[in-house]
Amino acid sequence: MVNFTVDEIRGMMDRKKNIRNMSVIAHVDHGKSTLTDSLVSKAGIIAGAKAGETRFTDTRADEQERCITIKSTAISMYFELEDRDLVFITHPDQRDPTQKGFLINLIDSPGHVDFSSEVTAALRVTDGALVVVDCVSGVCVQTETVLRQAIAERIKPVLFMNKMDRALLELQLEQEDLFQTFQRIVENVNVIIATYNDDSGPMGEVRVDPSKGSVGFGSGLHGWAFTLKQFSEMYADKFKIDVNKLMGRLWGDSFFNATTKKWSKTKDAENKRSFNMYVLDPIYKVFDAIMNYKKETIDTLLVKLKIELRPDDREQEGKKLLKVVMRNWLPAGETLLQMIAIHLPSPVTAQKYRMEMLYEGPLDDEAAVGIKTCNPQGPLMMYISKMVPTSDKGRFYAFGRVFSGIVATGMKARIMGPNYVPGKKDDVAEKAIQRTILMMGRYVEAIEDVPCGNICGLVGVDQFLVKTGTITTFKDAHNLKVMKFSVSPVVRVAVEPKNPADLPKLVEGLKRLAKSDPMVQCMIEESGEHIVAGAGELHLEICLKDLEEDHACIPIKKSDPVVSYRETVSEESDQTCLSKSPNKHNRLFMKACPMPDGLAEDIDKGDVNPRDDFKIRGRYLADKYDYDITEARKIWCFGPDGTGPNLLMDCTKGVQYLNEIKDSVVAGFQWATKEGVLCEENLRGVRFNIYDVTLHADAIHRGGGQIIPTARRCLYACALTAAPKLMEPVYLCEIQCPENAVGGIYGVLNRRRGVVFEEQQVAGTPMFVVKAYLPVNESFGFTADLRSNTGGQAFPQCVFDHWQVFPGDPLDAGSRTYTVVQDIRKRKGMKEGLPDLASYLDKM
Amino acid sequence: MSSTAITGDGRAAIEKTISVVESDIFTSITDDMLEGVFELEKCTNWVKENDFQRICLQFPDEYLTYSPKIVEYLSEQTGKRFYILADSTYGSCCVDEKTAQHVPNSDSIIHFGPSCLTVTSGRIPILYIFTRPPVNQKKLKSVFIENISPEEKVVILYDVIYQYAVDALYNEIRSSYPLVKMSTLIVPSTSKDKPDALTSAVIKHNRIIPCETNDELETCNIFFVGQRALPNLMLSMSSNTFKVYDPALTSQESVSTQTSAINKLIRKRSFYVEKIKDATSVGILVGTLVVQNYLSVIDRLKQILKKVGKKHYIVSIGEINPCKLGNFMDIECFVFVGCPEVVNYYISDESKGQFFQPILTPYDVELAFCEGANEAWGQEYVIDWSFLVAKGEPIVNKVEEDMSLITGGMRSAVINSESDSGVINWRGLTKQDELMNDPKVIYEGRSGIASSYSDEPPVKST
Repeated sequence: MVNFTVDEIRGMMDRKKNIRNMSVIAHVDHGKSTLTDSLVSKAGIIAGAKAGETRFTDTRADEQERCITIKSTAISMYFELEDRDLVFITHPDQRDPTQKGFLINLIDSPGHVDFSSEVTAALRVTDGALVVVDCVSGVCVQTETVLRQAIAERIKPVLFMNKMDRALLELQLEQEDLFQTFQRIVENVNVIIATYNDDSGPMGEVRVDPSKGSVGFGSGLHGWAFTLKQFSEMYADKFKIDVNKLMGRLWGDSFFNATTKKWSKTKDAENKRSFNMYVLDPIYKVFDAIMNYKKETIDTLLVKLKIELRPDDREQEGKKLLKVVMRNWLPAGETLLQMIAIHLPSPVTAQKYRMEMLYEGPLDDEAAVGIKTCNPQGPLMMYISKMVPTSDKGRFYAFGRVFSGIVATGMKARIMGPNYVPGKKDDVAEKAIQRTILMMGRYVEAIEDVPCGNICGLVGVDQFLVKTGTITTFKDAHNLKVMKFSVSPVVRVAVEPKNPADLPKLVEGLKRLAKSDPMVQCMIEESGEHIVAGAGELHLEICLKDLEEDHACIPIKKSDPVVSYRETVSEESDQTCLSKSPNKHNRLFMKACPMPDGLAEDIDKGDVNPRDDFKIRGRYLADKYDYDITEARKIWCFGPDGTGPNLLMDCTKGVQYLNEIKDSVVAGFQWATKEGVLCEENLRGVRFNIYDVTLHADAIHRGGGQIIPTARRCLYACALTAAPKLMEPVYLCEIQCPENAVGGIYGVLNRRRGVVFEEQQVAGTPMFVVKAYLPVNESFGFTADLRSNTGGQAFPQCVFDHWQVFPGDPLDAGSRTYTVVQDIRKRKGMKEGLPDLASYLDKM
Repeated sequence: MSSTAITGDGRAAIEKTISVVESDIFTSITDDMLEGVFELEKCTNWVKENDFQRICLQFPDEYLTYSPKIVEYLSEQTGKRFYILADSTYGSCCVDEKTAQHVPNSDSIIHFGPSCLTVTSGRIPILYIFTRPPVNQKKLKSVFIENISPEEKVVILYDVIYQYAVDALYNEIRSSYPLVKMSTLIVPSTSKDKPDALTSAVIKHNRIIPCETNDELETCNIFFVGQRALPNLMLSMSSNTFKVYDPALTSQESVSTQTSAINKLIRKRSFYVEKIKDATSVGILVGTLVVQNYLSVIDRLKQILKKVGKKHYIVSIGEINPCKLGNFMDIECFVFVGCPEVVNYYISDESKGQFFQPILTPYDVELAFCEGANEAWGQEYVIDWSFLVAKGEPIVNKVEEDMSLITGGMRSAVINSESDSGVINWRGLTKQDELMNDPKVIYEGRSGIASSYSDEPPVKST
């Protein structure tokens, strides 16, 4: 551990070219936190008085108990490169020529899918990512998800193959097999990168390549790691080849004939793969010697590898000795920090190409230029990516990244929430920033100011933001883009206080919970249910625990988890539906029909959205979905909430006064799409067409009071006559297990309406990966069920994938959908039974 | 609650009438029963004693059919002029002084049927005739005996229209049931001789319950006859068990046991409390012109809303229905000031989904904005807002930036209420969309009136 004063740290923050902001991302249980520990112990910064205390990343008791990371934690590290390593950094933006030291801000993120929102928040404030892959299990679903997100955010990845100790000790892989495994993982990772990144794009080539040193190998648990750079340096003198050149020779199809001293691109009987010969072989020898207690060989090896051990370490045997030897030979901290410093971009480099992805406003305004050039003299632009609870209950540090300018204690700034629109007064506050703080693990240190390119916390901003926001001093600044999460809050529970008198405390607690987690949604529904919605069972469990213990501090009763459904239609309405206004003087004629496949998803993603120019949107819909171009131009609105995946189309011709009732019909549409006719769930994927409207000639008789309820009734009638269906959310579920457990998995999935669509052996291992679609509603208790049916050998990861039509007709009293609909109606306190078409449909 | 005052379209009114017809104790009144049921002798005496000249008769809808005969009888007996107030402005439980004022020189009102017993402004003398619908006394007694044991501490509560029947029951059983307590009504017009003498009594919704304290009341069970007043009574007595018998449901053979759903109600109200915090404009709906102190409550609401920076409008549109309220599209939610029985309709499930904007009670507003108000939140829900007036100047919580649990976003605390309060903007036609359209060929449209255009088959009369 390094000790610095706050002033020294502040000094380093100004040398923006020597800063690296990075996150550690991986699938669950691939060893991120363990790896991070070895970094922290090498270079973690502890300011002044705090020195001596350890355990930086474990901030919560439950994280230790469960052995998983729940919240992402930031730590700062200081690391000096040696002169011979500095030459590897060639780009002028990547290093201040007078400086050897690097300030590395690292965020350790959770690997479990349920907490992916934490990863998203971590990625936003960093420029590089250390992707950790367990070389035994290979690339898993969550590896892919986080990597994809990283690329989308223009985060440059480096790869680390973890758990090499397992490959050697447990699986006893041959050298060539291990090489193949490594190569396959590198390929897999590069395939994902290539899918989501354009090599000719602004970020350039981001592929990872062992021969360039952007791939590390090792064991976080044992604390050793290497890149080909380390080995090249060892052999460079011997071969009299430049280190850089030698690195290329040590990877891939490069073979060396020890007798002829010739390199070759192909394998023949005489030569050996250079990676196996020069990299793996020495490691295998060390492992073999130590694990088989060959004392003399150990001694010669130690001398050969120039490893000097302390006398008491020398006494160790077996695994313990192995750890000591490997750690001394190939220290993980050193290797990884070199990788980070050399291969990950500095804020100066990264913000150049990230700006256009980050900023919503014009790409040439003051704020945009400030971000692009990472200019401390520019206007302040800071993104708050999450809220971190303070020791003071109910208050939070706003945690984020300064992209431009300097944020200082006491300065007045505009605090803009995600709904802020430039020029409007909504969702913006102009307040003084009470305090700027450094966040190091669970410690905070007050700091006078923080310049761009750094990560810090703010005090006194939390009350003006829910979860995220933009802090700026530039009056005309637009927002920094909101983060897109890879998971959705599809699992919900209703909570109520055990003691009814605690209700106000619960309401306050829910508000605090909503702040403390980037993903969780807390809301009150009209039925009086207080809902907490999360990404999965585990996520909810943690949220409810926090709610009960930290935020509300009252005993809470919770309902069984339920999922939110969507209502949709499967056919076009079998008749043109007519509804008359209460005064009978106005009539609406409409029909509903399902949207073509993919359109609802396009709207979800924002590819089709209400803010588009109607001509461009019309053209897109006509080209991709065969919509009539004139109709596609006349979309009245999206719904619910003005943005949802349902459309209201004006298909009328020459109706007088039509525009006057537009607002009222739109209001009715928002209402009807928010609370569907079957069971007041949101609608999804329904297009409503207005075919004709007759209106009273006198404006007073066609006001909102007449039209809003009529529009709603008519839309309900349309939905009821268009073969309504219920949709349920479906998880993509990836299960890893040994072959003998596969049978058990099928049994459990079948019982839960799961459908397996892929089953694959992880090459080089006895492990199988089963991929299946599993309805979220059937996923409660799935993990436990799976474990008990496979003897604890199968471990699922579930992530929301899509909405799927619930089989069966909800209008048929015998079907399962009917029961589901009735359960929802009962829960919401609605009348049981089916909605009556006659009460919505009028006769001529 | 008066169904016709609330329904959105004709259909609901028809359905409601059907349900009234079913309970034949209101419709089976024959001519020779009129005098007894409507206590016509009491009316005649009252008119004669006070020498009123022009008397207004207010009937609930289900009794309107008998009104001509009653007028005939009363005119014969007294020789004075009687007027029937056919269309109540608000609920039929409230005395409609406003409509009475439409009758020139009217000097008194006789209110027939169920009453909410709300204290009125006292502008005009009123006689309350609760009426005496024919009740199967034997059955009432047998239901009571079957369900109540002599050792049970029971308080009898009832709808006003069953007062006479319950009185008779009490007289019959009081000797064998010593622990039974009989409640009495506080009738507004006779209120001069009211409760000072009865210091040791609990008053709930204008009913005097002869219990020493609230604590004592909590140990009792309630035997309730009727239906109307039940929801409000249950709200104010959340810890008691109610055994309910409704003589109007002739098929009901025994009591239904109910306990207060106040917890659920309060949780529901928390949605509306959030909703009004989100709103930028609030309409104060005037739902009464007679209930005592309604003006002070409206004033108080205005003060509160002004202090928290919400635009507010006073909306007085007589009877309330979704069509009328739907015309106020700029108003995000309404606060209803009216008699407790009508208020209860708006907070019950019955009104759910009918109104475009949420309707709140003055107590909701109090909970949302006033200091200390939500300390009691969770234990009680106060529907009778008259107590609010006694609280004096409202003290509003300091307005802070807060997040909304409905939208999930922040709501801005400071809304500039000074500049645009009270101005409703009107936007004219938008032309942009029309410009998009190509010129169209003119063709002949429909003719006729909207209820039946000339190209449609004529409406069949049913």
